[in-house]
Amino acid sequence: MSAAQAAGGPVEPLVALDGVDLVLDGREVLSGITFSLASGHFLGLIGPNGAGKTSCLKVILGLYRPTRGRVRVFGVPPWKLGRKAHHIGYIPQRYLPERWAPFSVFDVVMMGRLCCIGLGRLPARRDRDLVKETLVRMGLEAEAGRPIGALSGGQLQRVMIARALCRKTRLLILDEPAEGVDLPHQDRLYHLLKDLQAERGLALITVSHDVSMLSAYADELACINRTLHVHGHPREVMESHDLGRAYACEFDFFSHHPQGPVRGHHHHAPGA
Amino acid sequence: MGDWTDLLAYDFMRRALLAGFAVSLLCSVVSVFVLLKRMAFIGSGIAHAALGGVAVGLFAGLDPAATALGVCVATALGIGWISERGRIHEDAAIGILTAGIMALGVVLIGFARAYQGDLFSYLFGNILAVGRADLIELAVIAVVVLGFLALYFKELLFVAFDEEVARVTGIPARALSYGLLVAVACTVVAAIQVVGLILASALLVVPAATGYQLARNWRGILLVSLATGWLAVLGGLLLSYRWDVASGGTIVLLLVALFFAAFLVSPRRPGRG
Repeated sequence: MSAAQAAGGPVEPLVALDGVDLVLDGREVLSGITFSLASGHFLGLIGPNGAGKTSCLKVILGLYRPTRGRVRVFGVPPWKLGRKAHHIGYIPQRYLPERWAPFSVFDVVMMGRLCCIGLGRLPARRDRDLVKETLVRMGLEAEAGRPIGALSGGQLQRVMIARALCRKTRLLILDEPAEGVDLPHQDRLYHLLKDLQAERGLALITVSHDVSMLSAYADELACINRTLHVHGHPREVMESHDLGRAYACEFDFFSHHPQGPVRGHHHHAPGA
Repeated sequence: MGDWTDLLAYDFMRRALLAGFAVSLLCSVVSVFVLLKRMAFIGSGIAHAALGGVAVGLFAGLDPAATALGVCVATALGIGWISERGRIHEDAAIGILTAGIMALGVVLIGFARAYQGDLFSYLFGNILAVGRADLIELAVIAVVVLGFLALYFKELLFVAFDEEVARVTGIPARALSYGLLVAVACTVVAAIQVVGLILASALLVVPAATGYQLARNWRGILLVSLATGWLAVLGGLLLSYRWDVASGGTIVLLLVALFFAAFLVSPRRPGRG
C-alpha cells in the first residue's frame, strides 16, 4: 500500500493508458487510446476484427512500445516491470500449441512458475504443490500426467489459465478466449473467470468479438476500432450510438445482464 | 573380443573414442532443442557456412577450426537477427545468407591449393586423426555449451514451447534464444570434427528425431537421443576402423538405421498405440 493509499488517497489503477498511439509497419493501429483499469475489475475489450484489440493488449503486456503516449502497468512502463511481471498472466489468442509438443499438463503449468523459481534452480516441493493445487482448482488433476496434445480445446485453455495462475497473479489477460471453444465451454469459461475474480481479487482484461457474452460478465466494456469509441458500464456501452459507428454496420443485439436483459438495434448509415 | 580391447591400447583410438563420446553427448542434448524449435534447417545452414569459416582459416594461415567457430557463431547471430525482422520469409533469408557464406568459402578454397588434404578432413570428418589439442578444444566447447544448457534448461524448454508467454512472465526469452543459436553453432563445429561439415547436421537432427519416435515426453526423448547418439558414434567409429571405411559416413548411416528401427516400432504410427 502506497503512502497515498494509506492516507485514504486515490488508489493507483492497475493499468493506465494515456493518449497511446501505435504505428506498426507504417500503419496506424491505435490512436489516442486512453483508459485505465482498477484492481479487481473485469474489463472487456470489444471491436471489429483487425481493430487493434490484440495490439492494445500487447502494448499493455510490453510486447509493443507505443509510438506516442504513456502506458503504465502496476505504476511502471510494462517493459520495466522486472519481477512485478510475475503478477501478470497472459493467455494468447487461438492457443493451439503444436499437437506434438512433448510436454505433460504438469510440465506446462510448471512453466508458469519458472519466473518465480529463478534461473539455475530446480523446482522445489513448494512449486510442485502450488502447481498441483492450481490443477485441482481448474479441475485438471486427472490430466496432470497426460501429454498436452491429447487434450480437448476447452481443457487446453484451462491448462493455459492454470499456467497463468500458479503464482501471485493480480491481472489476467485473455485474447479471444472464446475462439475455437464451443458454446457450453464458453459459458463455463466466463463463469470460471468471474469465480476467479471473486476468489482472488483478480483483475481481468478479455478481448472478444463476441459482444453479447462478454457484456454479460464484464464490469466494464471498452470498444476499440483504432480509437476508443466508447468505454463504460456494459449497459451504457451496448446502448451507446458510438457502438454502431465503431463497428461501421447495423446489428441487433441481445444480452443477458445481471441487472436485466439489454436488447436493441444499432443503426449505422455509411459516412455518418 | 581380444581384437576390440587391443584397440584401446592405441592413443589415437582412445582419443577418438573420447572425442566421439563428448561430441555425441553435446549433439544429442542440443538435438532436443533443434527438434523442439524446428531448427533443422538452421543447423544445416550453419554447417554449410562453416565451409566459409574453414576456407578463411586455410587461406589466411589461421587455425581453421577457430575461424570456422567464429564464422558459425556470426552466422547464427545473423540468423537470429533475420528471424526477428521477419520481413522476408525467414527460411529463404537463412538459405541466402548461408549459401553466400559457403560460396565465399568455395572461392577462397581455390586460392589455397596447398591445403587440399586438410580440406578433405573438414568436409568429411576425421575423428581417427583427433590430436590432443583438438580434444582439449572439444572439451572446452562441450563444457561451455552443456553448462549453459544445464543452467537454463527449464527456461529454454519454456522458450522453445511458447516464447511470447515466456517473455511476458519476465524470462529473458530473447537472450536465451540467441544463446541457443550460439550453442547450436558451437555444436556444429564440434560435430564437424567427427562427421565433417557435409554430414554435421545429421548429428543435430537424427538423435532427437529418433527419440520422438519412441517417447512422448521430453525426458524420454532426451534419454533416447543420448543413447542413439552414443551407439551411432561409438559403434560407427569402431565399425569404420574394423572395415576400413569412412568413419563419418559410417556413423551417420548407423544413426539413420537406428532412426528407421525406431520408426518401425514406434507407437506413434497410425494404427498403433
